[in-house]
Amino acid sequence: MKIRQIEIKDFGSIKNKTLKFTSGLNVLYDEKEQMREEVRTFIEKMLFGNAEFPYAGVLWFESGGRNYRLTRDLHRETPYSELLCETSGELIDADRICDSKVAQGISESVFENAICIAPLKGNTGSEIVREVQRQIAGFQWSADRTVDLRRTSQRLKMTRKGYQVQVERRKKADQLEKGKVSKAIRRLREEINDLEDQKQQIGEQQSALKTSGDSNGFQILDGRISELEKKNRTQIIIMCATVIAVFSAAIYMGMNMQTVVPAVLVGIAGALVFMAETNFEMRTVRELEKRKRMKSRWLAKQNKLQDGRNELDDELHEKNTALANLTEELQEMEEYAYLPLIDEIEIDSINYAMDTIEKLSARIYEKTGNRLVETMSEILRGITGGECRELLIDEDFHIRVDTGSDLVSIENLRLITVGQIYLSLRLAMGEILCGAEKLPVLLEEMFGAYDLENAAQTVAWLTGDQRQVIVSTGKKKELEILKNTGIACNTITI
Amino acid sequence: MIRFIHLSDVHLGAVPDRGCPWSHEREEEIWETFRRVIAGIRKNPVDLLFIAGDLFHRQPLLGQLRQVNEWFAAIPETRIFLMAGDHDYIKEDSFYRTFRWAPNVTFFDTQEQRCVEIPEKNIFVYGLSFEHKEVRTPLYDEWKPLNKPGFHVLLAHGGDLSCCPIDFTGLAAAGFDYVALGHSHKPHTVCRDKIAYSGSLEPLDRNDLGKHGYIQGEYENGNVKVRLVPCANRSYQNLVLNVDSDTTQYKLEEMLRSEVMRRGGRNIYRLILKGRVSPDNVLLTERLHGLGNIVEIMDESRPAYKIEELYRQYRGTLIGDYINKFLNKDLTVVEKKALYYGLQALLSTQVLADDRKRL
Repeated sequence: MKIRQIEIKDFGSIKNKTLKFTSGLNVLYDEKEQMREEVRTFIEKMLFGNAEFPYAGVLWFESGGRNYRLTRDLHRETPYSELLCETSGELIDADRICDSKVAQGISESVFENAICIAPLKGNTGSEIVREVQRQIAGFQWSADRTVDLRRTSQRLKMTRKGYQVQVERRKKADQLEKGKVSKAIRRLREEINDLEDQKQQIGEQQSALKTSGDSNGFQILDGRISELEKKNRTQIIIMCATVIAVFSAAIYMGMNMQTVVPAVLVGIAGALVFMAETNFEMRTVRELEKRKRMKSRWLAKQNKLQDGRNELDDELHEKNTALANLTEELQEMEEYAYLPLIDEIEIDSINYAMDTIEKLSARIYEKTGNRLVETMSEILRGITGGECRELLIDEDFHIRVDTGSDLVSIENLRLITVGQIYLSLRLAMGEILCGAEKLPVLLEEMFGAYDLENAAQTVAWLTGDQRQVIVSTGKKKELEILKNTGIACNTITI
Repeated sequence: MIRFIHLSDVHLGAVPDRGCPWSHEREEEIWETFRRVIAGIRKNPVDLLFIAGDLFHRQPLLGQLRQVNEWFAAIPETRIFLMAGDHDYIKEDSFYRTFRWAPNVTFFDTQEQRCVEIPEKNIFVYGLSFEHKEVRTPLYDEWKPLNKPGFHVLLAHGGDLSCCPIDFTGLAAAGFDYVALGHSHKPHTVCRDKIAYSGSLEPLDRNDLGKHGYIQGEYENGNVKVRLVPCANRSYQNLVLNVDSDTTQYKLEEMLRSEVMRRGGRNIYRLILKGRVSPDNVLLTERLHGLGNIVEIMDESRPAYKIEELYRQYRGTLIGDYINKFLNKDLTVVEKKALYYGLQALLSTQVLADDRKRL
């Protein structure tokens, strides 16, 4: 691709200006950096169409052996863009240059990576070296020198951390609640066990009231009372019989004998027997009353135990119901815990993003990693006239240059050689990103620090590769150097 | 004229939003609201109170039944009809089976269809209780009222496929004057002034949006008129905040604060963020939790990227490849979010070199 001519109708501070370019070395000279920057940006905006402000102009260029005219007028109410293939007369969608075959379908990012090149600026040599290393790493893994995958990953991890904290907090709260419910369940189980123990104790007490076999305390007491009542009744009958017999005997003796002595004696003897019988009877009555009291006490105790047992049964029922409710609740909480939280969806999304970036990046590295170093070596050899034979980059991005006689670390190289390594990096990016068709390079005050020999060598290699070179400078010295390289130089003033 | 109140799904004993700071307060509020309804009836008695299932969240404890019964006994002029639903179904060992209710309470204690008549007022109340947690067969479809003059009310629970399906068309034609339904937490009318869900008395989770309370109705000369009386302590609301490219964290927090203040600080909100935010503004949604009763935050906002333009701009590089991975296909929620997370991270961490300065 080669830019043939631009007509700036209105762009920033430039109005109605036409600039013509040759296919070889062009030097865009203006002391005002602003003006040069505007020309560079005009070319970019014309190619890609997007702009934050209105402008108008025409860009003529050649690509793939065909001539094109690209017209844009963004002042109009409806922005106007037209890409005409002057060779075939065909009209192409000007807003889809990057989707078309024109100029290899380069994107704005590729344009910025591979076409616009300015020397690195830094306060110290080591800063510049670090920047070269960073850009090499960025390009190898992302095909874009501006991407910093380490920072990207950090950023995603930080965002993920925020959500992870939320998830952990939520899960902790859930766990705490589950813990509370579990604790309540344990407490209920203990209470139920206590109640069961109490119930068992009552059962034992109830059993203790029973004797062996089928009979129990109540039956024994009842039997004893019956026996005593029977005995009491017999004693009363005997007492009555005694009174009757003594009384009858005394009357009989009194009537049939002349003396009353035997009758009195019988009466006394009868009275003594009766007193003895009364004594036995009273003992039986006392025993009977005692047994009845025992029976009533037994019954009271039994009723009390039964009441206690009934109360325990009610309480156990209540506790078991509460336990079943809590167990059900805990189960529901555990089932609920399996449902993803909203924050977990965010975490999954971030993980997916990280994973995708990693895979795509690995694929890019496969395609460009080694090729970048090889291409850089080749270009560096060309622009230094063989002074630097090969570039070696290890896994830690430590860069060394094979000068033929020695392996020199980048830290020990002259700044101008570091600048040449950087230029080779940027040109290699262009080779990799743009494929077969050579794209022009726009070099911004790239040769300011070069001596004539170096500049001549670099420009000769660049133009010798059928590449259009546009050097933008505001320095007279650089202009003079480029004019004196012996290569045809088209000087353009704005 | 017969005045009645229809309520359901009180879920006494439920602990909504477990783990949230307001959870136990809500548990108390459910009891409190029910007590308030009974106190309201005591002050302004109605003839009938229908409780269409799920009075309790789980199996009622004896103490809970005694408490509720005590409240019921305090409104002797009101006849109360109560059924067990799918949450508080009559388990084999349920206290429901043996509990002795106050004389003004009729509890439908089996899954058998039953009609209770109040002869002096010509009121007929039909109902049954669930004896199983899952009742998947229709229980009400063949039910018809007795052919007697009076106010015929059916007390029913369920109505969806998972819980006692109901043929509402058939039910509307069955001849009941009013069907008091329970199970759905959202109050709604199935057939105007004839079949209605009263909804839950208090909202119980973030999906129970809108007004909650009980249905108050009147029956006169064969006509029924009902209206919903909101009485919930607070409501769950979806709070949608629209963010734009000017929204910063501070502005978002202020928006939320003022909106919560305007709608009521006691209400519980599901915050939904919508709109397109500036890619340069990082919004930390986790910081919004403390600005009200926020039960959930759904961040549906997106950085204001023009994806296709960005793809054209970055084609051939990692950023372009990344966008391309998601372009022209139906994205899942995770993929859609991943696109923006990855893109924002890649773009915001770019290192702009000196020669990338723009005009």
